[in-house]
Amino acid sequence: MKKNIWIYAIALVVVMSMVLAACGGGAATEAPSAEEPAGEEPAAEEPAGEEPSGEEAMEEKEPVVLTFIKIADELEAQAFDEMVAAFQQIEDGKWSHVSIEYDAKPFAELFPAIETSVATGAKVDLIQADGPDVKHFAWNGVIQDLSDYFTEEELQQWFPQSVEDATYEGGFYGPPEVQSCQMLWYRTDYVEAAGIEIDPDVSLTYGPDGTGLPVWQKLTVDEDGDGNPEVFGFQNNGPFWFDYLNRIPARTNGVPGSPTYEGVSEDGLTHTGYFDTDEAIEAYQFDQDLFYEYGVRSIEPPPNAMLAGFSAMFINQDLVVGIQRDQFPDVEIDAAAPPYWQTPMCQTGSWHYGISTTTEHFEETLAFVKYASSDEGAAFIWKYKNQFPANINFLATVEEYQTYPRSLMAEFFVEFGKSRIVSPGYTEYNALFGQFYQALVSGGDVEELTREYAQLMDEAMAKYK
Amino acid sequence: MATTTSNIPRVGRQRWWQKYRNQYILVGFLFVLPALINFAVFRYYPMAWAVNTSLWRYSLLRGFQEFVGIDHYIRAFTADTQFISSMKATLYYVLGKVPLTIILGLALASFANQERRGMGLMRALIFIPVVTSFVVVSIVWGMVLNRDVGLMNATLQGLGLPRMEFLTSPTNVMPTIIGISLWKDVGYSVIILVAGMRGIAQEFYDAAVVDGANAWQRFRYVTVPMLRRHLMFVSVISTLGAFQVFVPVYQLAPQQRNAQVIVYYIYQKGFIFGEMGYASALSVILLLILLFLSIFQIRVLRSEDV
Amino acid sequence: MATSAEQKQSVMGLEIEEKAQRDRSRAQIRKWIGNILTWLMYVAIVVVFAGPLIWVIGNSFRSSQTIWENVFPVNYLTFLPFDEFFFDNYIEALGLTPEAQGLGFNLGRSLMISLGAAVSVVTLSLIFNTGAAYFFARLKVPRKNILLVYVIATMMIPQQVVIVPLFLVVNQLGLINTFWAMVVPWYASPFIVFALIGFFAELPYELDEAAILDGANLFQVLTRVIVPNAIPGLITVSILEFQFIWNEFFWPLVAVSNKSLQPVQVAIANQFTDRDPQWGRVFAAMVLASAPIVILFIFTQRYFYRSVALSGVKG
Repeated sequence: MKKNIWIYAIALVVVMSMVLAACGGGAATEAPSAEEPAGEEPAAEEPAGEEPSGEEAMEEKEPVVLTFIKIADELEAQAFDEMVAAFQQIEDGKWSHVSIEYDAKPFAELFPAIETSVATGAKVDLIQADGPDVKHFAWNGVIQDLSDYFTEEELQQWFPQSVEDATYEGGFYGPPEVQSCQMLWYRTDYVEAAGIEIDPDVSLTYGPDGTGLPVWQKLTVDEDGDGNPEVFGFQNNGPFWFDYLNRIPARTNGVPGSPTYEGVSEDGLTHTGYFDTDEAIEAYQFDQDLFYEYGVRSIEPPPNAMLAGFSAMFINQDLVVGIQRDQFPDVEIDAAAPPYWQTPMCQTGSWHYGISTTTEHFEETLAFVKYASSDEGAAFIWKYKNQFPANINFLATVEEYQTYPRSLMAEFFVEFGKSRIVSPGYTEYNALFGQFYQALVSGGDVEELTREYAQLMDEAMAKYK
Repeated sequence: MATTTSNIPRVGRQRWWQKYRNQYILVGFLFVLPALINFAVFRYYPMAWAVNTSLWRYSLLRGFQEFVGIDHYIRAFTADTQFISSMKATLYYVLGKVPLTIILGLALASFANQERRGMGLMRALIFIPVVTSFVVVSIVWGMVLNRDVGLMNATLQGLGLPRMEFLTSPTNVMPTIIGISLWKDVGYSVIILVAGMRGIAQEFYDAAVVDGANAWQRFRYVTVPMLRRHLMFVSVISTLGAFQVFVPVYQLAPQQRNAQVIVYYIYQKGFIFGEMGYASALSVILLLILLFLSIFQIRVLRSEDV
Repeated sequence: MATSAEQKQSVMGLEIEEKAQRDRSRAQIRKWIGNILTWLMYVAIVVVFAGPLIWVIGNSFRSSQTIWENVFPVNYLTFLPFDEFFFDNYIEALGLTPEAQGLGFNLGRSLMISLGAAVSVVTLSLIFNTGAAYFFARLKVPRKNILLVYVIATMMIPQQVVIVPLFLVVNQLGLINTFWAMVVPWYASPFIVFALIGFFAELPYELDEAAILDGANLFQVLTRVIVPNAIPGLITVSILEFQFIWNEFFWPLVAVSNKSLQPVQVAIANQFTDRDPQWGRVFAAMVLASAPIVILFIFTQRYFYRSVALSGVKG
């Protein structure tokens, strides 16, 4: 028995993996066909069968329910509820039979959730895709190329950056919902207390000789003199790190068109020579020095660092305004153009409407997407979500963007807004970038890290070649 | 085990079958059948799927692409330094957490097993972390351990000690994660062990007292041996859990290379890097490791007749 | 001889008395020290295990602004909301105002869903896992160790990897996006079977034999002998199973997209958007989500111990 149990265990493992893998293989090949007939499909097939029988029967079309996988965001959900109600009224109720069901996932789990839905063949018509992920979904054939359905004129409804975000290999994969661009936000009280004048139109600059450092040093407060400031002068993201905010200093250390500025090769698949240029390393070194050498930046900023009073300045998009309004009504903040090294830049961040390749209601979904991204649709999103609209006409009607500080952001965006690195492997790149930046924050050797991670990023891109 | 089996004469296939040929076995199987069906359908089928997937280039978004045989397994051991380093991180975590879970679990259980005023509340308190959401708990611990504004560092500084970077420093991050997950999970072991201690008849302790055993001896020679099955359970379960640790890393230090444990690496490969086939291969390797480890543990700790 | 024996005896008597006295005072000192140590332990447990949660509970009565204003410097106000105290976070989380309802908050509903799922799973699991554990722990079946390995091996693969095939299976059964998706896959649990084996195996085998001699069949042995004697173990695993289902997150997130079926952990996670959540509300939601199990635990403790005291058959 003593020996037997081992033998049995090994036998069990072998038999399990071999026999079951065999039947698993059978199941896997079955899987695509097995998924489809399950559940609600029969009901969905009926209208498809009726459609060709008579075009006049349009009015009596069976109700169509579109499934929309999106982030869990209650304010946005309200916007879509109103938008759908309005959509059902347009064109004399041509789309009155269309309604939408949300499959809302928390922001952190949205991407895995979309993947799981796709992998399991779940019924999805509409996908809310984060700007840089659009190319990833496009490459994987998850969302459809909509180039044929949007005229040149229609594309001009949105900012070129938004359109570029949704463009992959010449195809247009989905119109934008909202856009974003960073600003330098600051606590009015802290800046006043330090006796600093901020000109909102003039960016501070990075670098040991830049105009930013003295300001941040002045704003750093250590009242009890324990060497551990109560207020840090500057904050850029944290305690987790992302390309969206933390790549900017490095990219702005290049002139337009340079590898440093572009951030990645033309096809988006080569990082060595772009991520690890001398200018980029210089910028990352300065980033690290802000933590350790100058002590103006916290390595572990708590959530809401600036609004909670732990830092005087802070870089983010304009959702800060919403958080301040909702949660920190007594805190006064102001904004200025974001800092840079040589070339002004803000990295854009949009959400897009992507149409699933497996949709059975393409016509309805497309109509809804067109409506949602039009100036009419954008108004609903703005009303609830209060984020920078990607629709040019609509933006012009929003008063908040005609007045400071948001006017500043709109101007800066138009002039200096630049897509994040353009690559089908953005998802992988961003995960590696986060690791890289964490290692930098933890005090690793910057040059070594930069070179190592450029290599790792290249390796992660290999499969796209 | 060895002694009991060796006393029984080796019986041939026919003989044991005859011996148990009554309905006993059949009826007996009825008790276990529903559970076995559940495992087959909801656990073994998915596992078989993963085994199959590990032989394919497969991504969640693109589906099955091409059959690669055992290439993924070869790659894991020959070309993937991150896999090896994530295994090391996992071992670090396991070796830190499992012994502490057992020692601390036993200590807290013997304490909480006493009949004293307020002990019911203490048992509840020890159990509370188990039932709280890790998302929120990680925020709280992040605040407590924060270098600049954290309670822990304020205390350290008050004591004249230097401030520590609990979550940012690459060397401190693993001990910190071990500590927090110990705090979160030890309640499990305590509740199991307390229940086990409740099952030990008072006569054994009385007899030990008559023999002049002191408290430590009673613990060492009565409690621990009588708890053997529960200790086996706790050690097997906490080992399995520790090898598959994911949530604490995902919540507290997702970007720390030193904290990249194997399941986090698997998650990253499968969900972020679009290589679920390779991720499945890594999972199968993990499965095999755990299988052998558990059998070993069960053999070492097993009592006579299970 | 006699005298020396007597002497010896009286000396011994004295010694015994002295010793008894010494022992008594020693016992008293020991008791004293024991009490102090116990109280120190109490304080340590409260600080370590309850400290962070006191912070959460205290701050669930505050607005975000006040929460973060009080984080630093650390003092009693960090933990306790003496400066501001309102129930709005709870009222909003439960969706009791029209505004909060408009925003879709309805933690009450999610709590009911979680409660329903947890109770269903615990009930089913008490039936099926008990049967399975009975088989492994009590029945003399040859080679059952192999089956035990079969049971435990199910716990060895990370959930992330098997989520897709599990989804496919549950979808085949037509359960995706229904309440039963959160119940059916978990009706038997290797974890619970394994734990129950430990509790069952420690009962003396004579109990079964006596019952069988009295003419009981296997089922009756289980229900009349094993189960009544293993109540503490059964309650323990029920609590563990309950909290396992209660805290399940990724599976219901994937398997149930219908908002009115969302269990409580998903409801909490859904408050985290690409903006910052209202922290006070998140804390309130967590308190509401944890309280039921803690109360259940405190409540069942009483039964747990009484049943041990009542059932005299033990060992």
